[in-house]
Amino acid sequence: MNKYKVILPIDVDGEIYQHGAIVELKPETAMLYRHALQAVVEKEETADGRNS
Amino acid sequence: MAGTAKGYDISAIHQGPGDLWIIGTPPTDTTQRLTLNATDGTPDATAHPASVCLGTTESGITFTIKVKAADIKVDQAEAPVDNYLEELDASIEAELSQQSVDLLQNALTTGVYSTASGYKQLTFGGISIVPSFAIAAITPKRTGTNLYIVSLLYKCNSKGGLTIMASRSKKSTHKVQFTGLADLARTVGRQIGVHYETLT
Repeated sequence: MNKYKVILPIDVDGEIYQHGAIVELKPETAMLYRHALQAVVEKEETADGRNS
Repeated sequence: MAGTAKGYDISAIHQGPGDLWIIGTPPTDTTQRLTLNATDGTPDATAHPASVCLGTTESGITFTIKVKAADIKVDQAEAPVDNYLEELDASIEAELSQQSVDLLQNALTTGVYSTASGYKQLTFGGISIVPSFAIAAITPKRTGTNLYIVSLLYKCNSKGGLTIMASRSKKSTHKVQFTGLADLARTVGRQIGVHYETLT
């Protein structure tokens, strides 16, 4: 199970998660809803990106 | 006396189609700009995971920044003596042609997406929270390989809903409009968005 922040509302197995909710989903389930989710990753702020 | 250079620069005249992207994990207040893949100009999958391209467009992508400056008038002068910024509206608009249900949700952001074996659906009604996210228009430069022009709204929502038309004589399209919000967690001067070109 991985943590995701819900960007767009989703209905997973009858349960509705709204914008801003943090959900734990199996990676294969998250793949189906990937356009509506943002992975919650603990990371440090990076330096300026390449090509930017 | 010496003259002044006109600064004509044909490479600064832009032309060409761009792509519209919902940006997963937008740039921070420090980085400000997207990390792009150097060869195709798409958002870097590590820096901006879960970014979604909204697909092909019917016509161009329009990035608009409207400024409403209010006049300060005084009785002692016939013209305004100063101005102040009353409103700043930034938006990205396009007419999209791909209508898979997950892409339609990006236009009707309050709809609820669901999928399982054999279907994708978008139900709607009953949710009053309007989701916000980052969106970018990324356009290759006409005059430079691997150079791009980017218009980015850090936090925006979709306005205008969804109009889906079925017709024998016209192909499917739907218009989208994303309106920038001020992200108060960001530094003053860069709370809404950024427009930039890459030079290397």
